[in-house]
Amino acid sequence: MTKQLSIAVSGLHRGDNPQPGPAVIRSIRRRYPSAQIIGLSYDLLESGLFSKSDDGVDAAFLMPFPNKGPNALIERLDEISEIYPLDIVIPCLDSEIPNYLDLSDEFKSRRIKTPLLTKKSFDRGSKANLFQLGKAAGVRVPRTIVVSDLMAAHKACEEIGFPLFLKGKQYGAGRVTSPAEVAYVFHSLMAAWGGPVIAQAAVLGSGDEYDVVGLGDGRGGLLGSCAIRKIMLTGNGKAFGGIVVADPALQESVEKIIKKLKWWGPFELEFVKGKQGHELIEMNPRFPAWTDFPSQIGCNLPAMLVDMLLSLPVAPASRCEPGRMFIRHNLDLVGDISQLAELCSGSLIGDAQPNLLPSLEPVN
Amino acid sequence: MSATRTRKNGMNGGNAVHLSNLKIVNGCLAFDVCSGKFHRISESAAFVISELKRQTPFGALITSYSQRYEISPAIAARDIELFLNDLSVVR
Repeated sequence: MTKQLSIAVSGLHRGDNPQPGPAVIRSIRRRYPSAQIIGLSYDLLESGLFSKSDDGVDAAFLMPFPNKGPNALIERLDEISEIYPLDIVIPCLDSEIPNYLDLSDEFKSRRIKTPLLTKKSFDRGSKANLFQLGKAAGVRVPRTIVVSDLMAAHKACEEIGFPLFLKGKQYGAGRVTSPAEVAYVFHSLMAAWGGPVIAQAAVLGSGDEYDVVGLGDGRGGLLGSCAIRKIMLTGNGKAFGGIVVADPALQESVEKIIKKLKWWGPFELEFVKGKQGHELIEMNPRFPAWTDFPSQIGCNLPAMLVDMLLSLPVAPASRCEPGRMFIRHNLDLVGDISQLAELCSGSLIGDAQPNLLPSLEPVN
Repeated sequence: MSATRTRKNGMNGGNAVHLSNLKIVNGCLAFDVCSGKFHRISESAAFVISELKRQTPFGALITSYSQRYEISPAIAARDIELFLNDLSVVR
């Protein structure tokens, strides 16, 4: 009898700034309906813990925060593996990736598969290095200056010119329109995420935002991708709706970046359309929160990632048809205080099993 | 001359539109597959775009447009010119 595939996924909260975990889980279940999904959670109230649907988890465990470092992470994963021997772990949050990169040998020795992204690729795609990457790849990136103190932030803002964005190393950003706003945004980002802070020029033009999700093969090739224009935004600029586009210029920019980085695994590239075309404003080393949308139209990148991790043959994903669109739809999930009580002990095992909907049919 | 034919055809701001990228959906929406923008359009605008995408010669387009909307070729030519001007500045 074949062992049931056990896959751990993090980033389970679908709040106003939705995390990718439930979308990744749902996509994986389309291809691997019997996979056992283990949720890795940082909070008792991550919404995905309470889903009984196809994006729910079979069991969940509270995790140490990423700033506790790689040792705390591997110790916790070892504890989880004693109960649910893990085959695959898919980190879905930016802040987790450095610890996973540090632990690549540990995972290898435990035969746990994780995305094989290299530290070099990760660093080159980071916000701090994006401008240099764009230059090297021939892709337009807004001027960027990395700063560590307020005086340097003021200087960078003057150099770049207003308006511009100050961004946290991994999360968070604030638009700055005058010197008077620099200190507030800088200190807010430093307090929330630590340094350094990245000053990035605003893109002047139509302001249309484009997002591309994809999967790199680690040799410079692209196994699949889906590009959307954001048609609805949340208050903090996240896509609440999107429509598939087929823009050869955008696709070329994506291919140049992935080729230059020899990127392995999932990524999200964020572009803004300026007066001279698309400008790359950010690269994220994971699936975005809308990754189940392409999965539903034949481009199931999370399932392909699992195929890759299992060394199965991976056929290139189907092309997403321009005009297909998604709109996010929030629902209320029912939970019980007993689930919180169970989670307080560090895990949710007895009451997490999702009732898979019969409507969930594998797309690819 | 109908207001529908001569209005600005519902085109709103966006990126430069190329006819080859425009897809007419249900005769009432023009979807730019490249930019992802979509514009509500009138029936007459949909007709003109569809004909141009079919590479109908301009003279033949004027003839068929004037017959379809029962207007003189001169008015048809002006309508189409105005529409193309609108289209060319949509960004």
